[in-house]
Amino acid sequence: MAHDRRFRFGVQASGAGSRREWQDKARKIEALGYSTLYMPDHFLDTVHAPMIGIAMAAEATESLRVGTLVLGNDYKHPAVVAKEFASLDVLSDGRVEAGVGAGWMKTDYDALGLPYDRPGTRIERLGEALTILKGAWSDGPFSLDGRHYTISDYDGIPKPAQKPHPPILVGGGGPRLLRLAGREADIVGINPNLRAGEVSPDAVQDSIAAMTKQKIEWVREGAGDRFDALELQIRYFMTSLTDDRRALAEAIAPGFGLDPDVALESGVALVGTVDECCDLLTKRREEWGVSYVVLGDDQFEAFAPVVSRLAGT
Amino acid sequence: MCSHAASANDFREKARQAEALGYSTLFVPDHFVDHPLAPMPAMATAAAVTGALRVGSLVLGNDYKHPVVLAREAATLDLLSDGRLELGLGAGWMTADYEKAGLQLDRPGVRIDRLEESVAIVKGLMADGPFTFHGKHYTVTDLDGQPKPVQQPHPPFIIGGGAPKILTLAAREADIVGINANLRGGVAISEDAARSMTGAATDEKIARLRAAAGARFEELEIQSFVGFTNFTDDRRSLAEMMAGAFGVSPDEALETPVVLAGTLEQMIDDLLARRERWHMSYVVVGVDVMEQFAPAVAKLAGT
Repeated sequence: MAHDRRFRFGVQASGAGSRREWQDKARKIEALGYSTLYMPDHFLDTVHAPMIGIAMAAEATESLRVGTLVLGNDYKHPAVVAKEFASLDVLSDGRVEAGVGAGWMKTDYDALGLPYDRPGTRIERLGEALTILKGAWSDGPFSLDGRHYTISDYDGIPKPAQKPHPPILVGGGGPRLLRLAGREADIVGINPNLRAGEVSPDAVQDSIAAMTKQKIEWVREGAGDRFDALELQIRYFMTSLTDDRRALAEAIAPGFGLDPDVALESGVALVGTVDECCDLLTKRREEWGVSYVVLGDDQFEAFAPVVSRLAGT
Repeated sequence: MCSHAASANDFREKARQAEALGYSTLFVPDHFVDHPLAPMPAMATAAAVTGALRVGSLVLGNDYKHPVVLAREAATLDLLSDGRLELGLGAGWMTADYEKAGLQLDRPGVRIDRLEESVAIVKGLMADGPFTFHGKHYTVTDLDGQPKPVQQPHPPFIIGGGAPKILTLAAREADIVGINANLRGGVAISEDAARSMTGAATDEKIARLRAAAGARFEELEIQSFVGFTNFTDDRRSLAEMMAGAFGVSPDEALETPVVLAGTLEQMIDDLLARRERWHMSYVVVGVDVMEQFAPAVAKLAGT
C-alpha cells in the first residue's frame, strides 16, 4: 500500500538528569504534536541507554511513539534486540519504531573493545540482523544459517503488538546501506555518509542537496516496487528559526567548508522563518518524498509552530 | 518473579499490586524461551508505574549482552528509577538460550570467568572517572561510563548460582547472593538439580559461601527463589509426590529452600527456620502466588 506521505515529526533526545525531567520532556514532546521520541545509541557523549529511556518515555505518555535512531547493530545480539523491541511494543501498546543501523562511530567500537570491520561487513551483519528481527517477530519458529549469526528453530517471544511487526527504521548514507534499507525497512533515514567513523567535513559535503537526491535513488533501487510504501525520513542537523537565513548561512557555512547557498540547500539544513521552513519541507516532500522530519533535543520547542502547521497534512 | 503478562495493563497492574502487597522487589528473568518479557524493558516499565517498588533481574545471562552495554543500561535504569535497581547477574546456564541464539555454550568455568570480568567492568564503569580493563574475554579502554547510577557505589549486585566456583565469586563480589540449584545440566528441572538443593547440600553451599566470604559474610544478604510454592492442608502427600518426581525423599522435598508447601502458618515457620539455618532473609516467589502468599509477606516483611 502506498504511504500517504503526511508529515510527521520526531525528536531525537539522548536523556535527562532524572526520571521526572525525562518524563516531563517526553510529555512536552507529545503535547507539541510530535509523533515520535527517538534515542541514539552511543557510548560517549550521550546520556542514557536507549532501550531503558524509551521504555520510561512510553510509560509517561499516551500516544507518543518511541524508537531508536538508531541502534548500532554490533552492540547487541539481534535475538536480544528482537526480544527487547517486542517486549517494549507489548508494554507500550504498539508504539515502537525499531531503528537499527550498521554502526559507524569508531569510538563506540573502541569503548566496547569490538573490531571495527569494514562497512561492507557491518552492513552484511545488519542485513542478517534484519532477517532475525523479522523472523523472531513472525509466527512460528525460524532458522538462519548466516555468515555472522546462527539461529536454530527459534520461535521468538513475545510477539510484538504491531502486526506484522513494529515499523523497522534503517538509517544510513551509502549506496549499499540505502539499497538494503530500501529492500527491508519500513522507514528509511537518509543520512550523511559516516564512513569516516566520525562526524567530519566529508559527512557535511555528503549532505548537500545533490547527494541527498542521489541517496533517495539508491533507496529506490533497493526498494523496487515497494518504494511507494516506504516512509522517508531526514534528521535535520543544521536547524534554526531565524528572520535572516542568509546572514546565518554566511556566518556558519564557511566553518563547514560550504558556500552559504549550498549550505542552505543541504539535505540536513532547515533554516529560516516558520514560513520558509514550512515551504522548504513541503518542497522537499514534493521533490524527494521526505515526509518524516526529525529534530534535535535543543530545537524541538522552537520548531513547535512548524509542527503545528504541518503535522498530519 | 514475573516474566509474563497478558497485556501492558496486566503487567502494570501486577507491578502496582506487588508494591501494594508489601513486596520489596519485582524480578524479571532473562531467557529466550519460556519467559516472554525481556528484562530491561519490563523492569523499566515496572519502575515507571510504581513509586517505591524495587526492580531487579533474576538473573541476567551474562553471555547475552556485552558488559559495557549492560553497565550503561543498568546505570540508566538505576538513574531513571531513582535508585531502585537490583542487578542480578549469572553466568548463563540454559542450553536452549545458547542454541536458539547461536551463542557458543562454553564450559561452566569459562562462563564464570567471563561473568567475573563482567562484574569488574560494570563496577568499574559505574565508578567515577575513566576505566580500563584488559581481560581474557573483554577489553575496555579508558571509558568513563555514563550515566552514573543513583545508588553508590553501585546498585546491589545479586550473583546467583549453585556451583562452588560461582558461590566463591558471589562471596567476593555480590551484595546479595542467590543460593540456587546447580544447573550444570542446562535445564531447570532435573534430578541432578534437585539433589543439589537438598537441605544438606544447602548447608554445604552456605558453608562454602561463608568460608569464601570471610568477614564479608555478615554483610551479605542471602536470597532464595522458591520456585515451587504450593498451598495445601496435606503437605505430606504433596511431599511424597514431589519426592518421586525428583529423586529425593519426602523430607528432603519439604526441606529444600526452593519449595514451600503447606498452610500459610507452615510456610511462615519454614521461612523462619531457613533464616535461622541458612541466613535466607530474602525470599522470592512466583507472580502466580503473589496474592496467596501476601499474608506471609505482611507477617514477615521487615521483621
